Amino acid sequence: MAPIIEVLGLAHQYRGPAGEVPVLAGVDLEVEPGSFVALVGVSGAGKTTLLAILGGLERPQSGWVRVGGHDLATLGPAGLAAHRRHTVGFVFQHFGLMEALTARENVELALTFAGAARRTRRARALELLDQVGLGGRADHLPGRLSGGEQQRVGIARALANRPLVLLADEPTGNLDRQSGDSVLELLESARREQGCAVVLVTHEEGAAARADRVLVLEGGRLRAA
Amino acid sequence: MTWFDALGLALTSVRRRRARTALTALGVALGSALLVALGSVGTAAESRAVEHLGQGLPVGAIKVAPARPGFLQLNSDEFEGRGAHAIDESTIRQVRALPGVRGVLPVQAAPVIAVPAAGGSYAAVMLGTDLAAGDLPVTVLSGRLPDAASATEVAVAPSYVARAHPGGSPADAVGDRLQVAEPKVLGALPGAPMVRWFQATVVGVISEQFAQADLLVPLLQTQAAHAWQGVQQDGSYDPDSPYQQLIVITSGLDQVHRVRAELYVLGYASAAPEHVLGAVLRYLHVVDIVIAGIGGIAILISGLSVANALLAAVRERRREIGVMKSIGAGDGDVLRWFLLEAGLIGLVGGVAGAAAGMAMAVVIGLQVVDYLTAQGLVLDPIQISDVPFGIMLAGIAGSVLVSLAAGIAPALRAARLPMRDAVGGL
Repeated sequence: MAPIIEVLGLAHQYRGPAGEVPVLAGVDLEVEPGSFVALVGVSGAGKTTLLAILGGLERPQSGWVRVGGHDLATLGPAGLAAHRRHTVGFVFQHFGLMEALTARENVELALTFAGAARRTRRARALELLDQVGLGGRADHLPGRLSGGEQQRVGIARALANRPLVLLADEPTGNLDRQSGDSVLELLESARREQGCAVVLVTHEEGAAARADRVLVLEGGRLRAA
Repeated sequence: MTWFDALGLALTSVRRRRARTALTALGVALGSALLVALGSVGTAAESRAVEHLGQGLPVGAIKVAPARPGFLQLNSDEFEGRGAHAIDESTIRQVRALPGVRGVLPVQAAPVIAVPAAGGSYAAVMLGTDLAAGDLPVTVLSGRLPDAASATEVAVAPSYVARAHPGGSPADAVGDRLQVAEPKVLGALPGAPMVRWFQATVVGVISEQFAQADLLVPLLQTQAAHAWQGVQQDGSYDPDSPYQQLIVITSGLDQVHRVRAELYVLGYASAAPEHVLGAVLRYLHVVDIVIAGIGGIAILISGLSVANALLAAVRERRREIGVMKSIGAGDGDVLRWFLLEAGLIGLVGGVAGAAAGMAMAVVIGLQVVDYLTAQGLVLDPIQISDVPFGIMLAGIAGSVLVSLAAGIAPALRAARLPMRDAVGGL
């Protein structure tokens, strides 16, 4: 089966006050569809940068990145936006919910950008909230939900457009153990039921242990744990 | 995302951030209120000035006397007569045919003695005119005008109310019975003058502005009076004239001078406040320019408040913008969202400001009328209905447009935020 993510010789650097700071220096990565990969490494190792590049939030400076069959370096702004809408789904450590929108509206937003019809997106949003156990809290604003509940809304939103890859950046970082476990279970069940690959950035050993593969980012390169 | 979806998102955002929306909209509302209030007061002042100088006649009305015009007639707003010239049916036809003339009202006057049922009699001027004509320049204070074919109905001026119903309102006089005595030419028969009586019913009360009439009746009533009384001597005007005055309604102020010139050629003296009105309107135009300037500055200041609030919102919602982009929003989607939010704030502020501006105009108008009344001038106060729809619309549209313009820079900044920086935690 062809990999859903293929990265070859990816290098990336940031301009700091003292000059260029290399973050990624020749990353090679292949992720199979439906697999669960955990990325670990010390803070500043470049895990989040790698995730941002895979998600089309940042352009690769050199190397080759192919996600869902698209060479990201060749995509223009509209192509990258379409990549973010249809190919990947983001789960953030800070949940990333719009404070002024209810749980349902937050999930609907992803469907709105994908061009779904009003009636379709409402039904799909409610279905997803049901799946993450928040069917009864669809009309609550994020401020009225616990951290764990907000993260579940975030996962529902990430799954809204049936992405091929879920990119989760420390999704349990702001949660207690119990809520964190339930979020990880949701990611696993999404992988099982929707067949999407999951790339999880985490500092927690317990979370990483759930993955099929654990990769360590060190010195700008990936190696198996 | 469609414009409709973006509007829904902006509406939700505005609705759920009520305090900020209210504060920002308040800034817009103040600008809009100032523009609407000043504009309304300016316009009302203009219409009141025209009304006052027109002595109750509509804008562009000309009075024509049964006299030949003096050489300087066209340089004067008043009658400049030099010899009699009767106004008859052929005059009316000729004047009606003049370009720029919208209507002609013949007026007949007869001296009478009015005897109210409550007692007391007084000398009055009874005016007859074509009551079936449209655009009759008469203000009905209560009741209605007499029927054009009636020989018994009259409308009275407030002077009658003051005599027959001291302290009462115009409505109290409607339905009164009134005796009207038409004395035969005074001095023609020494001793007891001959008098013709008719009994009338008061069907309405009119403003005294219409040619200073005490009683207003259909033409057939004054024609009967003339037939009985004979013609009254009236200074330099034609004593044999069937009509004592013509009121010529032109199609606008700009037609007044032209029509007066035509009347001059026809050989009639005329009066219209064209020169004084022109001077007043020129001054008021300067006031209008100043008012528009002040209103424009107020709206611009409100635009700055919108820009400031939206720039703060972009800073505050940096992460939200990043998240939106990470779930598929394009730069255009973010731009639309912020622009529509700015427009909505402008709309809310504009509507609230227009309403407040109307109220302010009425309050300012009341103060002005109080002052002018104390100075001996009688003017109608400004009503909500006096506020020109165009000014209200300009206040609202101006608020929306300025808010949209003010929202462009913040919206562009939001749309161009680097995604990675905006998302923050990722």
